[in-house]
Amino acid sequence: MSRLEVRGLSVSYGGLVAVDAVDLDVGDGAIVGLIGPNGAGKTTCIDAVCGFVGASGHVRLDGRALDGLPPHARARAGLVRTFQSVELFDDLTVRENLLVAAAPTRWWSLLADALAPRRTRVDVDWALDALGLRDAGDARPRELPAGARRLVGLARAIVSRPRVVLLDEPAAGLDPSESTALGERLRALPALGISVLLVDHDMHLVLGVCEEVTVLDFGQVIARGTPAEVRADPAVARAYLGTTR
Amino acid sequence: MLTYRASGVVNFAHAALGMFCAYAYYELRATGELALPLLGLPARVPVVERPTVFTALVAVLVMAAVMGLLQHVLVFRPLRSAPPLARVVASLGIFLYLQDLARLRFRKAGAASFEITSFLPRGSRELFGVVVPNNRFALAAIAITIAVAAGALYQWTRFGLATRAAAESEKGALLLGLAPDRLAAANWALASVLSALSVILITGITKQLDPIATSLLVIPALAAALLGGLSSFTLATVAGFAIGMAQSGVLTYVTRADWIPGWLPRGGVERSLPFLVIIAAIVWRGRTIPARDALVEQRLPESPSPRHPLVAATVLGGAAVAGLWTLSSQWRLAIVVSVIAATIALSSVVLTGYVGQISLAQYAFAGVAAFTTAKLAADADIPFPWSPLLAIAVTVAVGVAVGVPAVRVRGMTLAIATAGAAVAIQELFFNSSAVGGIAGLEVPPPALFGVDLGFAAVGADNFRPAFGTLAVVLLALACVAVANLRRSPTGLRWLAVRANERAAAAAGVNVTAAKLTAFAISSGLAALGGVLLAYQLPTLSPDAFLVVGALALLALTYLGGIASITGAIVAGLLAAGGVVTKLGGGTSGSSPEYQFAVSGLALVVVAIVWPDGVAGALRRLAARIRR
Repeated sequence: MSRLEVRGLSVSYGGLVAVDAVDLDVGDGAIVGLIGPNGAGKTTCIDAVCGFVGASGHVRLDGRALDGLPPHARARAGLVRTFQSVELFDDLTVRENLLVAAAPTRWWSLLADALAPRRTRVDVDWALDALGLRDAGDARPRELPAGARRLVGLARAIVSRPRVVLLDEPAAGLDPSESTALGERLRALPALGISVLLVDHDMHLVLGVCEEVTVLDFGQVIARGTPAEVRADPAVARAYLGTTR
Repeated sequence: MLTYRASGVVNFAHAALGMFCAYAYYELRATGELALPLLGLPARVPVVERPTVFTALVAVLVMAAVMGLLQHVLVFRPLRSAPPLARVVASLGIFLYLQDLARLRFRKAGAASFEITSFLPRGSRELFGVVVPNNRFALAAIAITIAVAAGALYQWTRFGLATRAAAESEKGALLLGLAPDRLAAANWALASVLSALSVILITGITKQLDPIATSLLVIPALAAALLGGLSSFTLATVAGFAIGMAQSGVLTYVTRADWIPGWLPRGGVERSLPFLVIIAAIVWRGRTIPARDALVEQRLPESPSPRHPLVAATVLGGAAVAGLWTLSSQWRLAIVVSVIAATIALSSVVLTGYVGQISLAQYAFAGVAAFTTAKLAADADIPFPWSPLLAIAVTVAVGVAVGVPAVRVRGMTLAIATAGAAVAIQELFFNSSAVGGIAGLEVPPPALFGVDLGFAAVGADNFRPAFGTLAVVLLALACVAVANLRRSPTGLRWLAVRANERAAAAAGVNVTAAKLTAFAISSGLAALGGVLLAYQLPTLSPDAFLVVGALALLALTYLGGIASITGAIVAGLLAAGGVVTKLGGGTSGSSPEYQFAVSGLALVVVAIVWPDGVAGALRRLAARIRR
């Protein structure tokens, strides 16, 4: 049994089937890629797995069924995502952005917070260190360059020590050297106990980092295998050429 | 709706403008003088000796168009890129200004002194066995004609197409060579003319014209427009008719039905039921988490982390207490009024400033607490500390009950829904004979451990400082607690929700729970203010908790700085009858009768100059000095 198990996931908007009976597996310590041309349903797939859109099918994390749970409950269970457009909390400092995700909530939190606001010292610095953001902790997200903002989004996703993180185009807008550096950071995540599902357009990054890659087109899985197998698959070439022609 | 299309403003002053024009119309018909809506210009100019209906109507509608244009050019165009809430505040400023000006310009005030005549056909005919006066048919026909004409104008003409394009994307329209500015101006003028025309028509039938009630027609109008999704004329017209018919239908039913208990004010049922239906409809269409492509319209001033709340509370609170024990009784009254207003404003800081939920129901919450306290203390003989505490608990429950459906809507929709809830609470609860009704209630003075904490007293001892001290201490404690929440994980989660609900949910924040907690805290603070108000006012009547008060205080809080505790304090100081008005009335010799008109104008000016509020401006100034 793999750590994250997705079976028969389908999403339809009216008559349009955006995701059609997709199966996905992310194992312990694995980095799995999900690629496909524009509009293939990759982001919708992440939305559905994390509970942001209604979907049929089953999602299991460590054997526990997450079907029907709202997004925040799935995040607390250890299934966390990032966004294509980063979506940081611009009013908060970088460290506070991480605290939102890391601080535990109890039923008495409200009362305790009103009396003694700084009693909890949640450690978020390890996540900043893991992504090389040590010096940016007190900055506002707007003050950072685009590449660093993406890393903050990633840090916020891993700071709660999730079981699986789903990354939606983490390399979008990065230059090749930044993208290579990001690849190194991603490779270090399994050692922290975090498995990764990576969605990106940057083939160099995806095929370089992932052990297994799934290819989507028009909401359906058209290929699956190691990077070498996928690269050689004629169906994949057709799907990509079909959209670039 | 037109103005929303033209400049993305939900204009709370829309019906107020119509109200002023209706007054002007009747005045013009009666005296031949046109009253001008600007301070500084002569109050009125003679037009013709005995104007006919036609000339009077044309003159007034032209004035309406000019007023619309002025609003656009002077107020809303400079605010184009300001946060939406700043524009709402500006429209509230205009609302207060027009309302007060109507009171000043038309001194005979009160509908009775006017000869309100309608030029619609008289007589009546039967429809489905019910006698319907002809003028209703005429009104309905006019309304439908206008809606169809407007619909056609926007659907098929180049002007309409351009307006819709500019509403979708101002930049895009600019690139296509359209002039969004001129379009917006034309739409403002048109909308103002329509508002004036419809208010004149309606008052001709109902024979009721009143600066406040008529201006508040804007709430059902906005509700109807909301059902139309702020863009469909057909839906909005149908919704408008449905509301009107439902109201009279419910009225007929309610006056006959026996099962409705006697303590429920029947007129209240009539006036609030359609609201509740609309709110239900709006809420039903909402979503708990916005969709991926949903427009994020809110942008609020930044919320600084309070630095030394304990020190600040001690110093300010100490100053207020010192003032209470040394100054004259009128000053003591002003300080207490400010303290109470600041407490209620603080509830807006939590809900609107920290979590981004614009609520216009805060005064209604305060009223629930005030009336419950009065009832518990006077009728149930529950002693002092317990009656207000129970009342606050009840209010928190009401606040959460309002919050549960409200978490599904956001932004301006939420503002209108909460305004509707406030009206419903006002009509059903405050006017009910079970809690005192219009006559008002007297609250027995509080006392604790044999110490008299009452406010009023006979003679020079009136407005006793002991009560004021209690109020100051409670406000200081509330401020420190709110400051602590803001700095704690709870506050971080609130700000996260305010910034981006989807991202907050992805970070494991229970958005619904975060909002409901804020509703609970905020209604608790409003309740604290309401309880203090119950003890401060000589008699407790529903007038103290009207939705207009909530609008004014929210506007003041926004000016003070909606996202910081300083903002609540500033709002308290600025509140009507508070310390600043006392200062103003004491030093300058200006006539106090223009006070509301001037403060309405001041609201508009400050909203334009400092869209982030006074607190933000002070903070920037401090930063510049430090540098």
